[in-house]
Amino acid sequence: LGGKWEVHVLTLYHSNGVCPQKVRVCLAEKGVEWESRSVMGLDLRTPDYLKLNPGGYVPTLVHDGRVLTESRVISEYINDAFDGPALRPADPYDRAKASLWSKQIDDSLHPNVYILSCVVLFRDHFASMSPEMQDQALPLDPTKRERTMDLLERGAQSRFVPPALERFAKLTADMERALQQSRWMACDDYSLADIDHTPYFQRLSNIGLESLWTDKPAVQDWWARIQARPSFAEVQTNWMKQEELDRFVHTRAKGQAMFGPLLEAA
Amino acid sequence: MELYISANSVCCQKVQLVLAEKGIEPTFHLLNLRAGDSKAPDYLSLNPRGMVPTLIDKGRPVIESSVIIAYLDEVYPDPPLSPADPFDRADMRRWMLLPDAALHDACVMLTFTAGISPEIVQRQIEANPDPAARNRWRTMVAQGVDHPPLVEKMGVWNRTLAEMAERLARHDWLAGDAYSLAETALLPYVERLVDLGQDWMWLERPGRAAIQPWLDRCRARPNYVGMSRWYSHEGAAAMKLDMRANGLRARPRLEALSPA
Repeated sequence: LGGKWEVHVLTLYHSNGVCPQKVRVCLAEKGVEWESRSVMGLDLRTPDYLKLNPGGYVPTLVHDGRVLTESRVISEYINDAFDGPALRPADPYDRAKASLWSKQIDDSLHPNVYILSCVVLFRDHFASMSPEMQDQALPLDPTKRERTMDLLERGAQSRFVPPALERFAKLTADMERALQQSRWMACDDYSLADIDHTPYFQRLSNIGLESLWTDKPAVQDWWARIQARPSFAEVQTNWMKQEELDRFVHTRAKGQAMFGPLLEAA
Repeated sequence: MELYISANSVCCQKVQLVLAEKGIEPTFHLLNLRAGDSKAPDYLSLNPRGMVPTLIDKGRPVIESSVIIAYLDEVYPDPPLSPADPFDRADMRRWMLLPDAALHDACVMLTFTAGISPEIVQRQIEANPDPAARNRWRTMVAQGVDHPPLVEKMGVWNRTLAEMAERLARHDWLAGDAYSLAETALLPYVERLVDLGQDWMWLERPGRAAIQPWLDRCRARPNYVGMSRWYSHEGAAAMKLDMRANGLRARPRLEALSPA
């Protein structure tokens, strides 16, 4: 293999968090080959990883030696830099609508899905840790740390839970209205807006909150179409062991029992 | 084209810089936030969150400043404000995310704890229909620069300036090799620090020497008039005087919150 030849290496540092899941779905929809580097737990705090991603988050994308962070930026880059189906709407106004949907994830869906996941998925795991491990596992940001401690202590009784449920009730209502107007969230074409919401719906389902949209036919139909796409396997089935997937049967039941009374009261 | 703004709002300034660059003169609707204009039913039908700015283009509303400026650059691409290279474009988008992620909240908190006199915002706070938000604002304004969450927000400001300075030490502009939406997204925030009398945050801090020349380059461009033309507007001018007087008094405390 003499001579000069270019190797286009695309590496994604990822985990099973919702943000890396968005990017995995985007890569699958675009039909781009990539190399996987799984980064979980304390791997996120190693000096080598912090050099790539100073905040210690996933995902990080490295393309030909250039580093990108922030899932929204990464997905738009993948759409821009590679051939394959366009994942942003053709019309600029629809594109602005798609951006607005994706932006609300960063603004409010993400912190709220964290709140709800915390009480169903992380609480038991946390209780099994030593105090030193617990201290390491808590977020560094003082506001987030305080909120996480309250959620771990009080579970569904935490004051942070009802507003989080309300936020997702609003999301599914907003989506029901939009999806009655167009086939996908931003317009009649599937776009990054749909991709970006996919892992959030999977997470809500994993924590027993499908009831947020079982009374909303357009959202139900959207979710069925999302699950039928080949890219859907990239959310979790391709990247989790069977026993991890099986555990969601229990977390679903647990979440239903926890949130059911709160949803009825609302 | 129509643009709903308030005088001296950083989010509106972003959009005004882009419109000036494109040579577009919209019809301006100046809202008085203190009088509750942005919470009026007609305005809420355009912008359900009751925020400024709102752009009306071809009869349709576009909201959220970072979405508006990206939209304007796509619909009116001449002259372009996005680099051609996809990686530079991604870099530009990452700079554009900073205000959405944390910088805007840090700016609001700094402005209302160190800048604007409490009596000026009192009426606006009492008019807020959400009791939890009302309490939060009352506490914040009463505590001023001793408001505990300000510690974290000053960290956001300092990290942003450090990151900008690092990039600008090696390049003239934040993304790619020309003025872009990254500049229009961050310039109003840097100007807010100037308004508050806090330009020591780069002039007197090591490693941040590249920020002032960048600021001067931004100010020398013709599109700067998009934001500066409002400086002398009655409401904005009074607000600037108030912010500066209070900001200068707050400086020792803010310096203590910004370890070198």
